[in-house]
Amino acid sequence: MRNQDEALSLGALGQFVGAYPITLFRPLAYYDKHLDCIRIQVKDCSFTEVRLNRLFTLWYENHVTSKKTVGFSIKGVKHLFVSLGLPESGPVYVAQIIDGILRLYPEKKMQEVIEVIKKNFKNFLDLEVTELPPGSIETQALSK
Amino acid sequence: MSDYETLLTDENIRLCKIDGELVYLIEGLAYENDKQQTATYGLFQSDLGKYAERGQLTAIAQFFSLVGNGLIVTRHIFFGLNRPLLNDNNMDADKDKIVLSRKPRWDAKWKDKNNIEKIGVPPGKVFVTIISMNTKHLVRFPMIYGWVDRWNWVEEDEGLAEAPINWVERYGKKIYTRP
Repeated sequence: MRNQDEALSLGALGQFVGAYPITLFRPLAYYDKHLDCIRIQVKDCSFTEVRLNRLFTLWYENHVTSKKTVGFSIKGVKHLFVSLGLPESGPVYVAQIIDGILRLYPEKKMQEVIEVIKKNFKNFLDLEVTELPPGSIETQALSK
Repeated sequence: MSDYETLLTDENIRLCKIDGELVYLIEGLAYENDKQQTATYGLFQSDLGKYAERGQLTAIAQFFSLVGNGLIVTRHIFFGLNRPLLNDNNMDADKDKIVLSRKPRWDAKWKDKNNIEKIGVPPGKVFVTIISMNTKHLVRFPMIYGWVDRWNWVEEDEGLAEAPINWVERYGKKIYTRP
């Protein structure tokens, strides 16, 4: 093993793309089970995550001259789903979760953060959240 | 220790078949028993496959460069996330996480399926990799110290070079800084 950070593992990359065909990027929302958050991404690029408050993190594109948002994440999803009473089955949409958070936390600071989210991602709030575990998150969380 | 077969070795990344699963093994720094050590971090190839299905090519490029060949030159290691985290039947999953941070010499950009382009580091940013300690799957994967959960850029702390901004509030504690 070489101890340096300039290496590219192109052989491993080549093997990987042979095993997993690359799909064209489309804006998406998905549940990250490892970190219990929902990630909404509207552009494939390098980005920096900036924490807005305990629930929201905003993603800013790197390598551009003007600040541009390309995604955000919503943290603590299992607890949120229980509190929001989201449906046990059927699709869950980003807008549903955001509106629920606003009902749950109506304080001014949360309103301001959600305004920023809605302003920057108004065309993507109807994205369906994919990769939710079988059975609802709410049911799973309540069974713990 | 489980037997496993190494299918490919490329710089610091090995692709291995372990108990029927394809797993990337990455050598990286760890801090155990009051000393710096080299540890093996893992990522299921199927988990990286989800990035391909989603078209997240930049993250794939970063994995085969900054993650795979960068954990070994980690600058700081932090223990625990300062937020409640429930996952994998674990109510205290936030305490099972470690975070490795550093400031690489470059960022990675997807060029094509055979190539990754090196581009400049975004100014004032550090690269972090979030790891779940391997506590639940030690029988099947005893060689793995921790699982790679996530990698991304965050703003750099003003007081501690190569650390994420507000690291004191973000993480339980800093357990290691490479001299």
